[in-house]
Amino acid sequence: MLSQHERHYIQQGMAQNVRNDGRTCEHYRPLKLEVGVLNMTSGSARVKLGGTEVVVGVKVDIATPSPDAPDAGLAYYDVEISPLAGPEYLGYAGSELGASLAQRLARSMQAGSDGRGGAVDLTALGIIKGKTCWAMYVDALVIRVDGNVLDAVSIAAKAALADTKLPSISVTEAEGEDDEPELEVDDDPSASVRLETPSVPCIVTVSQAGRSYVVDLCEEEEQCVDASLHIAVTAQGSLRGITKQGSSGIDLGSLQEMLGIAQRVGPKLIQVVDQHIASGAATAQEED
Amino acid sequence: MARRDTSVPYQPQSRPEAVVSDTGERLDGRGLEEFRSAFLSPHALSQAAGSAYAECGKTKVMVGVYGPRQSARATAFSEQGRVQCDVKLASFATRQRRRFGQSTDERELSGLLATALEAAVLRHTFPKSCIDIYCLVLESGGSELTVAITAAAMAIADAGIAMADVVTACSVSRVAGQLLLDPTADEAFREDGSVLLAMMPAANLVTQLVVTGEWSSAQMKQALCLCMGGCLQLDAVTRKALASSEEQALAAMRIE
Amino acid sequence: MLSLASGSVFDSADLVAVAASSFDQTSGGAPETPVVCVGDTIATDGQEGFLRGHGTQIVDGELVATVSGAVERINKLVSVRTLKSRYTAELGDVLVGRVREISGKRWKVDINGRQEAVLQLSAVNLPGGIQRRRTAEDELNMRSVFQEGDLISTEVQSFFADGSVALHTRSTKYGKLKGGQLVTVACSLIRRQKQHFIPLESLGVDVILGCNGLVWVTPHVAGAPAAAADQTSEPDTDVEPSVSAKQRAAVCRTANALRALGALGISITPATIEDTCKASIDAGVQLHAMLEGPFLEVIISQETQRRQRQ
Repeated sequence: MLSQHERHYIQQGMAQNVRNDGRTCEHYRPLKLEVGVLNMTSGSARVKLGGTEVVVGVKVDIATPSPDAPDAGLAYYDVEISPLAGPEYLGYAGSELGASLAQRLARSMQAGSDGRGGAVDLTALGIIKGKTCWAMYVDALVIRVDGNVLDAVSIAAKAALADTKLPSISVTEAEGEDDEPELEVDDDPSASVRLETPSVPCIVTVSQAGRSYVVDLCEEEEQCVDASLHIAVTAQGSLRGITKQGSSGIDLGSLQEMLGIAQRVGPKLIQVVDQHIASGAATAQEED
Repeated sequence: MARRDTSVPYQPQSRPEAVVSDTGERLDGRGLEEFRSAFLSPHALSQAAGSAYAECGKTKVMVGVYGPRQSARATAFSEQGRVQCDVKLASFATRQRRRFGQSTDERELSGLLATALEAAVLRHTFPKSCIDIYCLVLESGGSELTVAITAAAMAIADAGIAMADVVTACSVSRVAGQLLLDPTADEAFREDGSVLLAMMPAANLVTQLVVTGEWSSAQMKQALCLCMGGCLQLDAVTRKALASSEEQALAAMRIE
Repeated sequence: MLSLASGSVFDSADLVAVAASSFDQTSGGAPETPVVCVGDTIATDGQEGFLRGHGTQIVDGELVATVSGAVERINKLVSVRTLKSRYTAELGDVLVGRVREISGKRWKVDINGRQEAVLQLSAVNLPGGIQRRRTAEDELNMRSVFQEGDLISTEVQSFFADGSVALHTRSTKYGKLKGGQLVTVACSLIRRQKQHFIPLESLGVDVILGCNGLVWVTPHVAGAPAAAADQTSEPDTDVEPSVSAKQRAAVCRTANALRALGALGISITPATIEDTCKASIDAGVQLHAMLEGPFLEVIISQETQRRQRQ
């Protein structure tokens, strides 16, 4: 909760490009990222973006592919806000927020109905066409809320996916007509295959406050903006899913500017994320 | 679209058959009465009044304590404050993915945790108020409840809420007639009896006891002895962690 | 034997621990005040008729700690003071609070502590002078004085029978806060002292150090003490003070210094605030980078040197 005076001070600060913590409008807070933090997962990551903290675990199960995309696997995205973030997230409020975050994350990763064109190539998750595939569950758990939860969730999801390894599967063809093909899953971790994730985007939320456009809002700043665009951007700078939030309208000129900011800031953010992932992977290898 | 619930975990629950070798060595190299290596630290979450993070082997638990604050429920003036516990397992905590939403076993764990802690918390120091204890199991590698109890007691102490004593907890699994202290998930899977004990070590009072399986009184005594020894070891570690956290805060703060 | 693991993937470098270990080296290691843990027996040997204070209870005739903290012995009163517990108001405390609710003739104020706090209509300076009677109109116009969400500087006047706090703003220096930013730190880092309204001219800011850990920073206004919104004028002067970019940067530098000191667990005094700000200027650190690792290390080493000199 903020007073109208604090709100005014913050908005003036955005207009002068000096926010309360000294950042400019296009500055992200310090990012801390670790991968491979959870044992029972195929891939995992933990992210701290300023005070916001998110843990993502990726688990895979064997499932039946959708009839529309028989050679592709399935991907599901879920977000939950832990009550550790505060009692206000227990119950309905928390589950509503989690559901809307999950929808936005899913939209940024969405593939076509044939399983192609998504952030992750779902055909890489196919096993036996029409019969068996991997179902991948990307579960995000928010441990602390200090603004910009969606961007933090998307960064953690991207890192967890980059950390994900699928078990190696060998298919023995069926002998008779009525027999089923046999699946053998190789439990040996060194035999598993890393998921390819070059197109996984990061969501950059750009918010409008008067004539200013700001990224990575902390919790008090979120109460000072009119409308926001959640813009998923890839490393190459292309857009991959946009959602609008907030009750104010955005004029076309502002819309263009906000998209431009996302396309400028996004690739830089992804570069930082990729560096963290790479150094995390290097440390893991040293320990092995 | 395939319904999520019908997917099958890619590995059958192929847990190891034998968990103890002939020479009394467990799968992770421990002796029968040895603890897993433990990491216990208070003040893990800055947003909560008190918190703790505990890691025992492959079990990771984070606890946040909020309050004391006015009771949400309008109760008549109560001399005793209320202690509310909520235990959740993350969807990626177990081998098989769990669905979101509180399940019956989470509810049971919450109740067992509350009982283990209530005796230790001096509830008359916050009348008309309640404290909320939120427990998150990030990874479930065996003995989640015991780790949760120890971590939660540390988190309550970290919040500066008055307690009679810390609470530490320990469990024992009986596998093929042998008693294994601080069992892993694989070991607990093979058990035919278990004992969980939570106690206030300095006061020498038991705050929670959960027993499954059939026990002779001799073996029960043996199991309880083993658990108590374990609780005392944990007690030393818990106290050290709390005291040094306070010492560090004093050292950082001190200005002449 | 139970062995304690040295670290965990989930463990984050505890800044307070890092600061403490650096400072400990200057005092020779041993803590000056004995720290006890919950359930520890507190030595009272040789002490006849001790008085049981906060944080203790008697078990079987012995004094036992109910919280973790430092043992304090003041005459016969033995208590344990924990740094972690929530703010507990004392008479005369200067605070920064946030108005939560207006009900009847009072504002309910959140002071971020154990107790509820109330600011009664009769305890506020109203427009038109100090002494006039409170009319029914005033009650309806309460929102025009302070509304929900407003930050105010205030003082603890007294306590009600149920322990809740009665506040007052009956001095021109108290009242609604505008044109600045709020930083929240642990209340144990702010000692009760004579002056809580601190002008820091060399930094270009004025600071209100609330005993409850809430600190308000505004650009420096010449003429002490730092005054809150002028209450004697009409209530609809809700003109926001204008803040230049230079003033804003000064406020930001001080606010970040407060955040950094709060993160490291170092006591907040005019001296530590000034030292931290000057260190950031000398090191050429950008404003937002004051909260990052390298500069926090600078603060630690600077503070270590300062303590070594003593």
